[in-house]
Amino acid sequence: MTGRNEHSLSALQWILIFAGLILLLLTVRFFFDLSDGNRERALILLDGKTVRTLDLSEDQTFVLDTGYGTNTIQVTDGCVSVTDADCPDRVCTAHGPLTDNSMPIICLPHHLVIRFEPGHGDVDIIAE
Amino acid sequence: MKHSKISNLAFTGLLAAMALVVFVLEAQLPPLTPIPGIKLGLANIFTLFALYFIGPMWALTLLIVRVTLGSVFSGQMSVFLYSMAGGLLSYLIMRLLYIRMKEDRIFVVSVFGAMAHNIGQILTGVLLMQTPALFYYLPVLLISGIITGLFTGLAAQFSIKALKKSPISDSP
Repeated sequence: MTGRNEHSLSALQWILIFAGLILLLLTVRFFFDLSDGNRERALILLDGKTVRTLDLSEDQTFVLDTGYGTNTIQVTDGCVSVTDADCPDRVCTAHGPLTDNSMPIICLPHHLVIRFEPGHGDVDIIAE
Repeated sequence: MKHSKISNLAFTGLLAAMALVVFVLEAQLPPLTPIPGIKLGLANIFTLFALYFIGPMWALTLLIVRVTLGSVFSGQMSVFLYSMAGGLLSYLIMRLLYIRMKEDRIFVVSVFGAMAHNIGQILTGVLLMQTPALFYYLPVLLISGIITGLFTGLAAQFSIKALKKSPISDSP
């Protein structure tokens, strides 16, 4: 079992590297959480373009036809969620209400993204 | 392994069939998390197994067959591009690590392969949906890739270790 990779790391060293990598990624994720944006308004994006801006203070339920299929979007108590969809995996309905911008609601089959409106200091604004 | 081309072909076909069954069954499970792209990736056990037990080109064949037929059988053609991009990037990384990593380090190859798979998926999503916001998911996806990749890699590693000891691997 030695010979070809006698200079390489031991199994335990690799496990420690992976554990360190997980900690690093958790830290990165934590900083994504801080750039939350504006929690009063949510954007509905289709193929990266904003098609609708939701005011989260007013409750509403509507069916959005994305062109790839439909998603039922609900706003209640200042929270937006997807309650129904005709996509095959329904990952978007399992997401529950939108809580922070590190976890936008995404429906890959319908090219749909729902996220809070970017606020000041948001990564997107810096990038643009 | 000094197997003939025909026995390699038959073996790869057998592995592809098993990988497809596992892939389709896994697709039937309810979403583990509300995050698109997080899955166990059990089918990658077969790609890793083929890479080390049969050879790199056979593993690539297995991967392409599995991703193509898997998308057809699970009825999710919309995710075909994501699976293919993730699969090919993952294969590329695993193929490069294969040069350096022996059979007792398959789990390392697997973890990096799983992370490459997630990066390929996100890149496809960003390009297809023109939404850089998808990059926010990268840390979470990479963490899941490290964990699932570790276990699928160990599964492949133990399978090969056991099979190398058994008399099956000596038969032509």
